[in-house]
Amino acid sequence: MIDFQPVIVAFACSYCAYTAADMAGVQGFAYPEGVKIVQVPCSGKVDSLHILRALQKGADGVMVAGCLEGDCHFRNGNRRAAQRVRYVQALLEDVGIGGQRVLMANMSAGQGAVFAATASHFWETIRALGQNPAKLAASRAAA
Amino acid sequence: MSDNECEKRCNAVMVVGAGIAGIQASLDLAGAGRKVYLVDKKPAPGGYLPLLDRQFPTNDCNICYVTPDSAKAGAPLAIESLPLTRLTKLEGQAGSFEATLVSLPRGIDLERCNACGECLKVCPEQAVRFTPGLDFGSPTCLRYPQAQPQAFSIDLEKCTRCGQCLAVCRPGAIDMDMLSQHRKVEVGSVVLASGAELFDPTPLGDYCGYGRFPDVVTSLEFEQIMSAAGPTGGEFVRPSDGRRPRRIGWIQCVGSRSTVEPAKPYCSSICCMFAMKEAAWAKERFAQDLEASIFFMDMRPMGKDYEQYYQRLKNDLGVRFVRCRPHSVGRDAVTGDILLDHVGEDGTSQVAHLDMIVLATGFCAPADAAGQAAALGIDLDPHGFVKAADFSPLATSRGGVYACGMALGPRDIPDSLTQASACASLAGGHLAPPKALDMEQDLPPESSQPGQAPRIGVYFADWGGRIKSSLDLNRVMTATEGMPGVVLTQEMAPLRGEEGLEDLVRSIGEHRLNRVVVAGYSPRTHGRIFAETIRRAGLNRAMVELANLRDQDVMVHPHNPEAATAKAIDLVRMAVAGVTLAQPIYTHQQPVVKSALVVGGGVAGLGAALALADQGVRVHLVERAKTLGGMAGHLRRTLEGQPVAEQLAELVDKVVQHPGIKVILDALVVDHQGQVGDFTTGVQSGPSMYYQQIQHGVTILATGARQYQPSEYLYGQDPRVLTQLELEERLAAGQDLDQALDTVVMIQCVGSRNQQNPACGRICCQNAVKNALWIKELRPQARVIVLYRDMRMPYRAEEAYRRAREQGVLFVRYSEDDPPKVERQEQSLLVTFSEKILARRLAVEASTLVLSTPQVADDEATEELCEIFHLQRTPTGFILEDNVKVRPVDTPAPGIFAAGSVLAPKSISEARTQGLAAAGRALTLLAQDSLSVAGGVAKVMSERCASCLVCVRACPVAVPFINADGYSQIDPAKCQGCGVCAAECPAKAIQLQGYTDDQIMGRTDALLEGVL
Repeated sequence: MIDFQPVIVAFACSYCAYTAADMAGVQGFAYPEGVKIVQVPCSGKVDSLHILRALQKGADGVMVAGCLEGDCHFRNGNRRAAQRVRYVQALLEDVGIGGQRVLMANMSAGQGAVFAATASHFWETIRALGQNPAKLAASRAAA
Repeated sequence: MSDNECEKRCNAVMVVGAGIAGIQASLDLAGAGRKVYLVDKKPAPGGYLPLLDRQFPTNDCNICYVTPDSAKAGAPLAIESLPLTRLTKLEGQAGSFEATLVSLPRGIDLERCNACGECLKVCPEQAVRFTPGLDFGSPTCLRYPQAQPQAFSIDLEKCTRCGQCLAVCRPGAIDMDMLSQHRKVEVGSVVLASGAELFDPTPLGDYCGYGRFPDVVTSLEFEQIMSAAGPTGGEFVRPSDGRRPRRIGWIQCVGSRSTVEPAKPYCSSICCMFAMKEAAWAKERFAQDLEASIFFMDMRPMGKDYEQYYQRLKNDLGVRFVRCRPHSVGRDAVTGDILLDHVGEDGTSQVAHLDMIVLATGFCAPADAAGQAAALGIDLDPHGFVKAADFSPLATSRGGVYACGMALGPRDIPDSLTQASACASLAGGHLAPPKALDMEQDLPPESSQPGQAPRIGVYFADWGGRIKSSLDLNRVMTATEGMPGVVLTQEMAPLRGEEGLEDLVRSIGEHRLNRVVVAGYSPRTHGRIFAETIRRAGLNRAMVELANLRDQDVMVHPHNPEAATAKAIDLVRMAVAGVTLAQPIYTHQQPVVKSALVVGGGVAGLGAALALADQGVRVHLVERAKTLGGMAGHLRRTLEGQPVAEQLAELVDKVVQHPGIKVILDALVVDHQGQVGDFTTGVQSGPSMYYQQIQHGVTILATGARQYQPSEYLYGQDPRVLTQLELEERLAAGQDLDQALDTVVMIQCVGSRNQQNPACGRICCQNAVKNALWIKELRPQARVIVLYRDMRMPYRAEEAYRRAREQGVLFVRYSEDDPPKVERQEQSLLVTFSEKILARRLAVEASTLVLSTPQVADDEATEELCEIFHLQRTPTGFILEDNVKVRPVDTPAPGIFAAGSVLAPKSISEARTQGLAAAGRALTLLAQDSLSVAGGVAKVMSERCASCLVCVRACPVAVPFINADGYSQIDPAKCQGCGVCAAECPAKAIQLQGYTDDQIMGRTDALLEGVL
């Protein structure tokens, strides 16, 4: 497992985090290629189901990124997202996959550097954790 | 060409200045079906707002509420934004102006620039500019997602043509040979929103320390230091030594309220709130670790509920307020402390030891104000701001040219936005009634049929060549060809204006595509453009998806073409999967009744009614009293000495005579139902309580406030105790005044800023000064003493305050816990009060005592009104707006607006402006034959709904309700499309269009294909 390159799905809200991700590009803040972004209208739209599905399909980690606390365009969607992330973390802890594989992040639209840094740091964390056990099980089943 | 012809043809307005006021005016005009030219001398629009990280009172960032909502507003398509452009000449007259525009060369090709910043790094002359909203060093970078264009510009005047930037610019975007462009456009009217500049405190360095000590900064610089996105990356440290400051002092009125040049004699109006916001924010972040002190002369938080904010800082957050006159700033050689010498209220000299000083700098007119005024042919006031009248507060000296925002002098965001909307309605009055705005007009019918096999075209848009240079585009295109449903893979020709988009429309038709993917740009910047383009090709707007190969691939993985290529394939696959699952999103159509109900016939309601009727809207004006005019009927003159009665009579007359306005007097609203575009309201009028129903598309509530009736200070017990209104009436009558005007004492804040009514009355200080000056005019030898807590005289009212002092009016401060005392005597009223500098109590024998009482909410009327229209009230009883900061005349209920003192105390000109603003906002709805809701909204599958109320509680805008059938119902006209209800619904009975669970998971699956 020397050259493990994690795959991360990042659900990013249109108002802040998705813009921050674009800004990372515009401002030239690199992050690992394994971080792939799915746009959602609000982080509060991200369902536990969507997080689990991404892990089921082979993502090693899932990041939910919304506006800064108190700055949600839809008042408190990001707080609801954070609650759901905590719920999924507990669930993953229980089944042995590990709660650290899911991360809630907050940033403002201008914080390209924060997006890049958060994504990079999370990617490193997952790299240290190793492959998603669900993925290993799936490839064993396939083999 | 005759004027009339032009008037029929001209549907365009020129907006000069693209700060928030200019943007708001443009949006309202475009929303009302007008063409707008938005010119700004800067390289990108935005003005000051993108520089501010947060705004009080909630310390939120509000910019996404102000800027065009790209998902829903079709309006911005009618706005032609012209950066780096000045209006140099305006010929003709209202209705048929010809404006000459000069656009400076940008020096950089927008199509090619990818904002990499290399040119900025190498330029030796600092001739390269980056837009403030995007500047890495600026506080907020891009809390402003719609900031366009996202590119650099070169100041060709500074540029020495050294060519270093040409060498480093990889996309080859730099073009030094660009020329200025001259252009003439025809417009019917002009809105001037050219803003103000921050006062530069450098010349005052001797006094305030700016430039001498690095830890003396301006409030805007402090905002940058505090910002998470600022130059220190969110570390709150002071410039000199990088240590966290623990004792911070704000000095107010730097560059304002001073007769010594270069400071300005006027009050800059907004610096008090600016400083308080920063102090609150710092205290909220560091609490006990930080000592925040504000050194001030008068605190002037005059906006709606601002006084309560001030009290919260003082009482709850522990911000120290020091009333004083700061006179010099120095440094302690031993400790390094910054020393602020100031004279306290008791006249003693004091020194404050601080780590950092923040200068609450004021605003001044832009350096080019005079030149611009000359180009426009309008008059300026002595300070270089646009001169305006009381009764037509936004009209300039030239017909058809209006001004708003800081162009008229310093003012805050809500006032600027209110004026902008008001200007929109005034500017529209010079144009022919617009053709009904129909976003769907001239579009082919939609051809998508459900069940059709997908025929997907994938277009690669790589106009700057950035993508091709960073990955193997051929490999991506080959991989794309093999994706399910893809029948066409093609590179798009570079976009040159609309032409490239027409090619796309043709190509879609030729290949009989029913779904489209555009790979290249971010949906954030280009999504709407392509949605509109495919609609022109007969496809539903939901049938396009963008793969973000630029910002989220090649630009973040610039040195790894292999990985960028693989990721590009993943991103295209995700877009193909997403568009395959796309379902058409049909717009919900709500026919609009082209009439308005205006409740309240004061200046706000009268102005609103007239503005609407002038633009062809049928207006029903309902007034509770038997006459029109409201509170203004009790006023005799304005602070500037203008008579009120004639102007008011003229306004009333115009309304009564207008064929498009039906006035219903002696009337009350009794019931109300319907939704935006189609309301029905029941009104009872006359002694017989005759009942009628009015059908209307929009509603404007302008029922005003009432004057507080004091019980303090012997009012009602002694005839020599008057209110300011009663005094004004006597001064106007002008009889038997000599004895009464011998010694007049005025007491401010009677019935305001206390426990019962924490609000500030906003205009009572100005009324007192107005009447004091009037007394001096009638009887120069009269003694006038004003006992006040803070004199709140915004902008040029400050000059009237100074004039009053010059004429001998005495102003003596009292504090809330030591109010004046009044005793009745035979010959006079004995008023005693404390004088701080003499430190003793003084007694004055007053011939007349005048109480300055505030406007307060008309509780009974407003409460009933709010019940009928389902609106909320603030704790002080005024109507609660949708957003006090950025939607100052909108209520949360779509189609219902409020204006004037029903929202908060207002002067005549402010009430009038608000009425016009409400009309401007209402016109954006009335311009359409039917209101359509374009964005994806949440849909309930009633068969799955268990009516558990989760969605009702989760919705941030309170849209879902349980209907008569027992299922959750979501009004598509009100849904904002966040999808929180869909995520929370335990039965998965709600799906958000465009982001259904199937689509989100389909996209995720495609993104992860091959990972397992």
